[in-house]
Amino acid sequence: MMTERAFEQLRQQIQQNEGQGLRNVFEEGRHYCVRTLLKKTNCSEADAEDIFMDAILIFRENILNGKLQHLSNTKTYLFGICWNLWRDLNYARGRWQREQSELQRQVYLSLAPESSGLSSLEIEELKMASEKQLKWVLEALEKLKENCQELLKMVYLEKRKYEEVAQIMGMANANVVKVSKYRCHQKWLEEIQKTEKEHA
Amino acid sequence: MHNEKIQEYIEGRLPAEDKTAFEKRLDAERALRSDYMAEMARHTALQATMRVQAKEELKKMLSANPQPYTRVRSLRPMWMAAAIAAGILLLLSLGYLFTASQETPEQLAMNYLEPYVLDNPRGEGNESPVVSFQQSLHEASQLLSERKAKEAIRILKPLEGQQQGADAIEWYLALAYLQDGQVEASKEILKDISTKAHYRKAQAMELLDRL
Repeated sequence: MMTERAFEQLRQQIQQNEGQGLRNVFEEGRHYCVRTLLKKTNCSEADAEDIFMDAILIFRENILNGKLQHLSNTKTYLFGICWNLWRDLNYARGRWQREQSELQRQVYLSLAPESSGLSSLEIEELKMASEKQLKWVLEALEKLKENCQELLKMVYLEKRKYEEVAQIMGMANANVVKVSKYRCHQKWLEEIQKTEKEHA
Repeated sequence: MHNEKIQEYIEGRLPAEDKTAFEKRLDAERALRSDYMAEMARHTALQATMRVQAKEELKKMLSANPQPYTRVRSLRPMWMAAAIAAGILLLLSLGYLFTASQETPEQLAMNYLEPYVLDNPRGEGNESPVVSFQQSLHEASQLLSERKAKEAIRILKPLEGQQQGADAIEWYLALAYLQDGQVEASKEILKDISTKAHYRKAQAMELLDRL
């Protein structure tokens, strides 16, 4: 059982990017989650380990974006995430073929949960379009200034609140974050178009 | 503005009323839907790329001492394990002959215990009441698997009588009482389960027979 105080400490460690907090969570949940996945599903040991690593990332994101406000049992919470990830991955592999790369695996995991009101055909289109974009995304991202990259990561991946991003990046307020994020995003789109043309 | 709205929608940052209005527009305006699909594809690709990077960073951070996961294996030689197994079998059969009564209530509870699996997407939305009762049930089932019946009862008892997940709450409470040795309390719930349409009706009747 995790006390409110211990949870608050963990939250702060994760927010400040201190490794120890997440390392403790990893150590606490790993054996239980991997063992239970192996027992309850037909996944391989490598899959179970990989799913657990994804679960740790989602756990971190849920703390950063404020979705996780209290935690009574770390192991069971982590296993809940693992279970859903396994279900999504299994569904995606059944629908499409087994993933060829880690990037494709992450696309599968994004698209497998019930996507917001999209038809089956649209999900198929989305998968193809996303996989096509994968070629340019990283290259375009790396062309952005470092603070832009950092800002996009905090907003898109970690889904942090604008107020918190403002504090971390030394911006005046949430509105400044919103405007800066929009500019970075536009810049990134321009870079994607340029990169696409370069490779055409 | 149009693109900004799409981004805010994808990021889940639109207030509830704006979100509903935007979804109605998405259904009605073909051009908007097409832009949304294009943005969504880029967003999915970006997120996947960032997640791969974050995963690599995480692995590096944790790589200080990741022991590969290994199943615990006995270090004893095979013949010793076989001898121990034979001994245990002999003791069990002797015990069975002498006591004639099968399992203890605790063992019975363990035999019928299955983990409660969460169905919330990726453990998100921990704050909603539905998810929190599911979390409680999952936690209680985990405690029971660790033979911590009293702690499980402490979690389940306050949930008793609530509508959401009532069937699962009853079932796990019956198992918790049984594991705790409170056979009469467990029987009472099991009898109730066995007289109505319940997803554990068959098991409840079976358990009552064995008690």
